[in-house]
Amino acid sequence: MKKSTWIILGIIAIVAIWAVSANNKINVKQENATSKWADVQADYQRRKDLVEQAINVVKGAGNYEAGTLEAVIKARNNAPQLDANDLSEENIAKFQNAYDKMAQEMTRAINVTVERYPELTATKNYQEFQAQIEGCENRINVSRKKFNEAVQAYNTTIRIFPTSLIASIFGHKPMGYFSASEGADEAPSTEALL
Amino acid sequence: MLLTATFAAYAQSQYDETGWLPSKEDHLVYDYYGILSDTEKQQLEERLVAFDDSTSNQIVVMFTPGFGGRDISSFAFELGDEWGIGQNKLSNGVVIVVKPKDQTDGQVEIATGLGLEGALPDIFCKRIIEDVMIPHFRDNDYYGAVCAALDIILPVCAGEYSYSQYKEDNSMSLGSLVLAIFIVAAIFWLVYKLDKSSGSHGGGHGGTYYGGNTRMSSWGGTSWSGSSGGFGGFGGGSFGGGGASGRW
Repeated sequence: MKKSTWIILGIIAIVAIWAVSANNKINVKQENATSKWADVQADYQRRKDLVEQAINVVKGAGNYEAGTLEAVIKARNNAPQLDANDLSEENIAKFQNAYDKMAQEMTRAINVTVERYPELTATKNYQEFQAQIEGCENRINVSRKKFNEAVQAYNTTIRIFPTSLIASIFGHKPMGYFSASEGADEAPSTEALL
Repeated sequence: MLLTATFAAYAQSQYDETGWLPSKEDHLVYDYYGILSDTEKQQLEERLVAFDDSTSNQIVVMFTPGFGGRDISSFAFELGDEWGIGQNKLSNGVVIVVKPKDQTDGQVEIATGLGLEGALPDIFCKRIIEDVMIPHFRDNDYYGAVCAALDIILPVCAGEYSYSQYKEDNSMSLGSLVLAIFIVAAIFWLVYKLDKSSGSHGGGHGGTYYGGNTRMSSWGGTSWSGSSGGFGGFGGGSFGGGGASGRW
């Protein structure tokens, strides 16, 4: 073969190696963001499980308003799971809204019950529940923050030249972030429940 | 008017500046509030360093007037994550942050590293805060509050992670050891071969050999430094939001 053929082959090989390694880099970052999503999902699941406990606390009060419980249960059933392959801005916002609504309904039901039955605050059940709500919200905040950081790293990689070329060839799409919903950047303090 | 303005400027200290996070130092007790006496601080430090040395669990105690514009919990988690409190794989760190009571409420947070969330569940931390620490805080006994909390936390952490466990986790597995020996042998063989084929016995070859050697020793140096004496540095643990907080 002629010398020029060798040179061309060499250049092609170098470009191919670069493309593969760039694509790998993108994949690693994507994988990282998806695994952080799993943590977010697990923490939201914890909030969902907490609703069961809230229902028990409310029921434990005996003298509760059935309507408030129905609203909580309905909000809980509407809280979706979100596939890690479909993390668009829009889907994340929907997911977040559904869970925030669930938390609001839960807080409301507890507040209404406490108003009618103030002795409830002194029970061990209720105090443990408060500590758990706090821990749950803290975990959600931390995992959301870590997810956002991972998404940012991924999105930056696929948007800057020259890796952006590879990203468009292999069809890597940008992922959505969590936005701070009203009052969500601060974990509800236990006083907020009273 | 001028007086209130200067007062406001004074109250808005660096500790309340948005995003403020103290820079990492090589010790475990931090008193930005100046509430501990020197002896108390030293005793606390010695106790925590000894605990780190014997069990690998890292506990940071911090007194601060502000949290960089965050709530106390977020401040504690960010601190734990940024500094890497606890060992890398075990994530066995705890951060205790206290804002003493002054014109505003006192606040306290016990943040647990991911690896200790099982041993120190949120509700357990809550009980320590409400039943053990806050009564001391109300008596203005800040040192006593922290000591009493540590009396409970230390044995629990020690039961979860011991030093031998940490060693086990960090020592090389047999497979990687064999691989390392193989690679080193291959390098030596290569150097030997090159030496033979080049035919010259100048200083150039001696240089490469020596270069390899210094790299080995510096690698060993960084991995095992700081195991004796004072606190040896944070291990890279992470925090996921576990723990509890309280107010008085």
